[in-house]
Amino acid sequence: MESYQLALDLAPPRRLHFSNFLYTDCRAAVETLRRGLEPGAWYFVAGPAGCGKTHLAAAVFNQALEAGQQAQFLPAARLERATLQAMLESVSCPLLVLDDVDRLAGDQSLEEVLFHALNRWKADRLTLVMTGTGRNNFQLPDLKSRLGAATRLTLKLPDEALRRRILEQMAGELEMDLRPRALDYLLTHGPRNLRELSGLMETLRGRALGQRRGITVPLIKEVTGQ
Amino acid sequence: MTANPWTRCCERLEREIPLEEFNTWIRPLRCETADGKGIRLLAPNDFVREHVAAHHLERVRDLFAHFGYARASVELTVGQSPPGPTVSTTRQPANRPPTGLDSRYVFENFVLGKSNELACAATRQVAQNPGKIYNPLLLYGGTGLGKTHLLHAAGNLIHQANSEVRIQYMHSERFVSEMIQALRRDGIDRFKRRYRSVDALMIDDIQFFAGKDRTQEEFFHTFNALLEAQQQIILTCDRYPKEVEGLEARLRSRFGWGLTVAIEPPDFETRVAILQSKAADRGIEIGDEVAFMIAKRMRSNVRDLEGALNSLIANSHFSGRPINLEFVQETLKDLLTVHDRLITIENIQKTVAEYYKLRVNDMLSRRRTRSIARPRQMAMALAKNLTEHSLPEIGEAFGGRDHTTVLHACRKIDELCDSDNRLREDQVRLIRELTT
Repeated sequence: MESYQLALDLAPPRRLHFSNFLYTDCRAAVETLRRGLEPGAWYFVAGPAGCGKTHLAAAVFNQALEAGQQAQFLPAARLERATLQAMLESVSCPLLVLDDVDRLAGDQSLEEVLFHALNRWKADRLTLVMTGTGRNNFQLPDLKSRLGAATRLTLKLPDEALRRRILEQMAGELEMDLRPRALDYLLTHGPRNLRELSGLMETLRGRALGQRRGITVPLIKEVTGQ
Repeated sequence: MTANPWTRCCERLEREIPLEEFNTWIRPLRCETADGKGIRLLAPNDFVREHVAAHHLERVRDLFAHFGYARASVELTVGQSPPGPTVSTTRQPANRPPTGLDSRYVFENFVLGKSNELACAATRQVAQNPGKIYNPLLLYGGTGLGKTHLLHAAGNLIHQANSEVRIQYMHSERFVSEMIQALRRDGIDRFKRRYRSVDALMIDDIQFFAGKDRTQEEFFHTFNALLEAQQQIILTCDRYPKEVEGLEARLRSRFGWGLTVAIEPPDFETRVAILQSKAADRGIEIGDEVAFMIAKRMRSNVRDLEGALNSLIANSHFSGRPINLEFVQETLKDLLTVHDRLITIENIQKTVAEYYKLRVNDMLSRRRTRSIARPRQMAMALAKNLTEHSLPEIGEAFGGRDHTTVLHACRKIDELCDSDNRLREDQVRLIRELTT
């Protein structure tokens, strides 16, 4: 029978900062968020799932807190509906990061809550950074129109060269020994979506620690069921 | 050097709970005192405080106990201290209640066009003679067309002429929530006194009063009291107030006592002027061809134009590239795609058919009865104005008709819109529906 050792979580989770956000062709978006946020302005970071939007959103949030500013982070897709609604209704700080705003699209009552919240935030001159696919699939015309006023910053899915650099960086941060063959395998067979890739890396790390194995192609196949 | 105990506590918690949960609930907390006597954690609001108290406080106390603090000395409360850098807000005189006005919105930076000149002129006149000419003044029209700008501009002008005048601007939702709170806290008399004592009351988006009977009742009495005392009321609504379902008849009728003015989507020339004016406000100059290109593709409302311009300026600033046609196409590619997505001939046919309660097949048929021919002409004219398709292509899409038929339809609709208000209203609504 196979025995597993409980993984010791020695390394902290990946901190999401501007300094560890790797990119090639979205410098203007990154720099706007890093040093170009205007107080009271709204920004919409748009791009397909897994292109790094949440990383940038968290980087904005972390940078603000480290500068002593009050900020809140709302991962819309991760919060229960009632919690999300209560949070939208109670936000009270100069900077809000609202991740995955698409979560609210199509939900009439949540759309209305967001619409009223936007009016309050506008009056309070709150700085708002939102992320989403940017399809603007909202039903409430007033909400659509308000979101349309945000400065839109677009990200793309990383190409293979960039994904290689990102994988190497993730491995370093998670203190993982990622062999070249395993890296190549992940690049060709692993998810293109960065969120999924990051999740897979965390799982691999746990499994490798638990079984005292290196990160090898067989281990990846085992974990991904390929 | 020993790290701050809260920092050490956070480092531990960050490993124990999912990162997003940590960011949402733990990171926004501030530690006010960690001087060996006690710990005071400040949450940004009640909801966060309650959640942390229910889910994380015990663990936080364990950790502080581990660092040598008494568990009982760890207190969690709501607070904003210590102050960090905050955004600037409009300052109010210390002894006056906030007016809710945004001083950036004034008549001088409201771009005039055919679509909004009447609304602007009426609002300015009211602001110059509050309570004396049109009372109430009601501005109605689609979202993002400048109604809120005019409301603030009126308030700012009234305030500029006489800073002693008590003005209150608010969104309808704030009126509703303040009233509910007043009812809950047994403070309805104070609420009534407050709103009935202002010299000018401006309420945005009154369509949100629909279905809220208690609010309408209170607003009705406030409305009457203000009107009797010749205090100015300015309201906005996203449609003609008589069409708002769930609004009491007596309110609808009173809204019509003063002046009701429509504000329509800006025409092409106004959109160009808005873009150039907003760019100039930001110290940027954009060429005619760039303004023409954006104004041609984005028709629905001013907010979209503003968003597009903001995106161009931000991207140009950090990439160092000039704002030319190539840059616009590249930067706004996905935004323009979203806008173009709805505006296909097929979607125009579907939308127009639904609007006039016809079947799409009727419009493509050879039937010439007016109830079908007019919507067909409307759809053809919209296809010509809103898409890049040629007349023959449009004719082909409408059951293989000749391009001269399409041309005739466009001219006919233009001509009728000048003389027939109802048809003009239909056209405005259909454009709004197709472009937002």
